Amino acid sequence: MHKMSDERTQLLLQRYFDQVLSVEERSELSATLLASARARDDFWELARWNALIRQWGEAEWGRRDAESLARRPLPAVVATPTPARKVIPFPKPSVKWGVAALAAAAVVALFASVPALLRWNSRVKPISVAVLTHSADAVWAEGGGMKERGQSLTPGWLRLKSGAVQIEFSRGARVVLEGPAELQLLNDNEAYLRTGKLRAQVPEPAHGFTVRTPGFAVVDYGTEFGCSLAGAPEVHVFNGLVGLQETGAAERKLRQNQAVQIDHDQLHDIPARRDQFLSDEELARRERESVEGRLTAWRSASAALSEHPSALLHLDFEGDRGWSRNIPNRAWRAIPGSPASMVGCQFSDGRWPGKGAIEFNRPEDRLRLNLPGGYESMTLMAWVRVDSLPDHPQALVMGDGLGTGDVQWYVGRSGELGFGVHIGKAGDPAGWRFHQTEPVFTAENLGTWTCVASVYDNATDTVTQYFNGQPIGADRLGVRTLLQLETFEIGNWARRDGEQWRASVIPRSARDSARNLQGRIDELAILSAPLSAEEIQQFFEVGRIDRTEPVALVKNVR
Amino acid sequence: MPNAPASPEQTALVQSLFVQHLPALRGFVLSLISDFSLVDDIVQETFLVITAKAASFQRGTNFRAWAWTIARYKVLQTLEKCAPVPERFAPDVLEALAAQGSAETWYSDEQLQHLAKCMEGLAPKAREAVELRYQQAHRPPEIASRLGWTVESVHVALSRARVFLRDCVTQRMAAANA
Repeated sequence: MHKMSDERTQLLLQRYFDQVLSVEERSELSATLLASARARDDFWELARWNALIRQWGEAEWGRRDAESLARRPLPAVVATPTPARKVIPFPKPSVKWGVAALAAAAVVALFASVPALLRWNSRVKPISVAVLTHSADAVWAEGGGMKERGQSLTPGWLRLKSGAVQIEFSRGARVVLEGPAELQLLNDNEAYLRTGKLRAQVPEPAHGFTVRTPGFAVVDYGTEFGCSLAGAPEVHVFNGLVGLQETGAAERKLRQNQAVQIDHDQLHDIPARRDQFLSDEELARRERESVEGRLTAWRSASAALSEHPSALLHLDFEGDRGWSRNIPNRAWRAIPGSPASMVGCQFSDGRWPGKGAIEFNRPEDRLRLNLPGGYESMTLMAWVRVDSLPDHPQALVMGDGLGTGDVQWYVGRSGELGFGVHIGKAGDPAGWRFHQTEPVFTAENLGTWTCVASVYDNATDTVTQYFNGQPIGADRLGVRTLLQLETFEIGNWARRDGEQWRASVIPRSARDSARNLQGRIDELAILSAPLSAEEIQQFFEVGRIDRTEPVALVKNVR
Repeated sequence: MPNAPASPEQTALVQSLFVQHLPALRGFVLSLISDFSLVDDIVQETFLVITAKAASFQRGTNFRAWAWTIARYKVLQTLEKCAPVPERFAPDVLEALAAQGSAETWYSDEQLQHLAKCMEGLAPKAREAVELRYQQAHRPPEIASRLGWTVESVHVALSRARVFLRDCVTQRMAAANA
């Protein structure tokens, strides 16, 4: 065995693995590692032990989790040795489905056989460090994810193309970020500003709030300050005291009404200017305007959707809430006097302040409706806020019956979007054929408004599913009849006496019977035509909470 | 970036090799970034790339070298996007480390079993610190505030625990093979 490198290197390596290296120590260790092969060997020697202990730790934690979960039924995929199939073969499996099932089996086996090793994101779950509290005309960069008012934020990037948002960190610091800006949330009291401008108000409990930038760091000591990287970097202090830290320089303290510009490592004093940074009041005013603009745009698009030639049902949950327990169907083809009846559920707020919604909460909450007729194709679309993923599937639109052509639309146990059609003989509990996507409802979007759509096109016998305007899965179903809903429910699934054990796309037993949605719906439409991907995209774009670009109305497509 | 689609068998082969090498791969990634919370994302992205490029893997060649190259690239790509923090190395250092760290020897299941036994030999307080760090993935400052220690004493306790565990596992391995 080779001789260990010197004690100093050992010590620094130990510090590295505990993530307690200082900047100077890192420089020193980096130089040693670059210069010495022996030091690199020592690095890997220690790294192996560190990783081995981590593997023990994860396995141990997994074991404890398993013990604590022993009394709760596990999701079907883990509990059964054979994977749940996405497609129930009927009348007999085709070659294509066989291969797909094999591939699915391989992947499921992969995940099921090594639960202790495959942590993915479930084990070290990123905990939320902040909440997006306000948003005015915010447009987010592509791929950066859409962030909405009320959304919990986990460590990671916020990429704002334009507009402004307010972020409340869990420790109490409140930041107004003005786009274009890129901010990385590091933890509940620290962020990294790569570009753009922010203003921070830091109450007592959040002292020490730190904004890092590529060139320097601003550490707050109880204050209100602004930090701008638009042009030459500037730090303005409006109240209290902040520390300005630059690499290789002593900390510079800045007091109330002091400001500096950092130009090629030179600090220049400049006048502190509040007016260069967006205030909370101004943000609130812009937010109000933005909301009104969005709501108006949505209302006109929504009216156009009601007039769509194939609109069968369109619930917008708008209008007088009063004492009425009926929700009018706005679709032009609606049968007069056949509204949706509210059972249990209550009115609530929708995507924007002033926009109505229905909240589903208790096991008996539901909307009951009737839609006679059979349809060759069908489009189901909705704006839904799923609030939690209980250990049961959640109904979106569920036909009461077990008849040929009955439709079920739901959120799966693990957050998948599912669409099923009964294609067997009426009453056959095994007659369902369905498609279920990968999980789309995850910890990150629970509690936020999402747009879901499923389109069954009779011409290709294919169902295509969409999440927030994007197609996320498609499959042939083998349907040879008309689709129907007849009597059906939104947000729940009717249970009739003696029928508890009835099989379904999402079968239930007496013990496991709840199918109620936990969340809200603020718009739902059913059309008798297969809408195109562009039309689904339009429905999403016009209904998004934040968006400044004008969008064409649904009506104008086609 | 166009990738020829792999056959289901080829995809299954590559994915099963991935699972086989997963503990070592996780260790490799963890070593280069030292941050537990980033490991899962990087390993997952590596898995996705490996699946997407399954067709380009040739049966019989060194899967490990192939997968490690992809993982190393993902580490660099991830760190590029992250804020610089003192506990992470610059790309040149990571490249130098990665070049030397692809050795075939990693740890064995046997070592893992001995390690579990050796844990029992830790002093209760040290064990608590080890559990907070290695099971719950807390950083030393959080561990310090939970235990009412200083960050420095958490670090010292963890360093000593690692040395103790290394010596204990090594001795037990030697005894078992004697």
